[in-house]
Amino acid sequence: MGHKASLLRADPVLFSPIYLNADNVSTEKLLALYRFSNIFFPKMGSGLVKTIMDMERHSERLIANSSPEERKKLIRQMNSLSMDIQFTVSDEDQKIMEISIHIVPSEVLERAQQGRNDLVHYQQLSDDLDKLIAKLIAKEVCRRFTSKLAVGFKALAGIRQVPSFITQLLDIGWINHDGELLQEACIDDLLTGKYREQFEQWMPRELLHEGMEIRETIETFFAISQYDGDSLMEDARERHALLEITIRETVRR
Amino acid sequence: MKETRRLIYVPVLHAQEDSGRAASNVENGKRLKSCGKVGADRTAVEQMWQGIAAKIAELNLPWNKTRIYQDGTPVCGNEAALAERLAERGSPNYSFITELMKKGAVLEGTEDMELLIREYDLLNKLLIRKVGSERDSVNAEYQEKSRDLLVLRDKFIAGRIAATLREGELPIVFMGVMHRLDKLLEKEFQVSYVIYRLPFRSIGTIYNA
Repeated sequence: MGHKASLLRADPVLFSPIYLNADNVSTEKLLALYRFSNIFFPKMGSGLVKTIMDMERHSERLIANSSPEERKKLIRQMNSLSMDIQFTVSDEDQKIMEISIHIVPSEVLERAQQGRNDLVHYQQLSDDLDKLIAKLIAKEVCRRFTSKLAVGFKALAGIRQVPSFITQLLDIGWINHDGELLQEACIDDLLTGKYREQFEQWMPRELLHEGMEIRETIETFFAISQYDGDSLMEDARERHALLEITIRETVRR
Repeated sequence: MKETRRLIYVPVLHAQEDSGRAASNVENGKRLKSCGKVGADRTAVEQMWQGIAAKIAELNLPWNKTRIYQDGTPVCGNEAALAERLAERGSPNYSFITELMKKGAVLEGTEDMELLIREYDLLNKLLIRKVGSERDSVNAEYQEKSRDLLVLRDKFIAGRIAATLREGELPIVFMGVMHRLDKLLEKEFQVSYVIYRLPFRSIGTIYNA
């Protein structure tokens, strides 16, 4: 992969980092891929980590059936061996995500012998995978939306009587003369803030409906947090308490 | 040709305070354990409501012709008193709604009480302490049933809006983000979203990420 950005801080003895090809990641298919993954591989991130951890646990069980001498011998014999598992997501031969799992069996066996649990690493890896997936989606939704905005702004900037809305955005440095959004631009203000009325007046209605995409992004983040058992229970307690008051107050009157 | 009416739709996240700080059956120990997360959530929720309030103020809505539909408010005949009670208990959502009511907006009974009681029962079942795989299966069952229930609630609310909204009135809907009510409303209304804090507030933060 061309440009690799490591997204994990995991101990390389246990897991190799996850690499994200930032150049290829902005694909229309990403949201669909995420939905597909959620349907067919629920808890994909944590599931993958569990598989890795299960391998360690399995080795722990195996090792329990051998004598300490045999274990030491096995660890010594495996000393120079390593194993690599490759997990890759591609879009038309372009790799967009690559997870390299690098395992050193002797290290794994040694850890299993010592009975060390790596719950901290497990949690960290799982969290990072979830964040990575959420980040990819936010980026994709944003890319699609901003490219549509640029087309609309460019068309308006090209007409004889340039609307004051466009002039304002040019003046404050939110767009350039090609209609492209610049660093300082705030989509929030365009859609729902102080520029909303003008935005509504000049830009296509479907662009406003792209707000739905944003909502889906919020939902995605929410859905991810729901996978976490503690968050789910916390939300449930809050909702339960609210309903309890509502029902009590309604019945009382 | 019939003109499509406008509807303001505000997706919201439920706040800790929405349930009232002194809710009876909340375990104090658990609360203390997660107080760091709760503190962060509370700040985010407070910011969310400040953001929503600012955005709604900018819309300059005709409050004396505005009808409010609120997630979790049953059709009970005393919706306003219930909102005041929940606002007194510290709910930022209902505090904001009571402010809008003072400006002239009307809070309409929104949800079917039967369905809310069913949700309450589901939550009761979920919150009975379970361990290990049993807890996982209860969670899964809750997720599935609450999803089905959400569909029924959304259908009821959509019907309720159609039945209660009067000629010349503007509906404003505050609904949890998991609801799909807006999809049902799109057929009858031009839905305008008031969304607080987009995940991509600034273009710069995305392209520099």
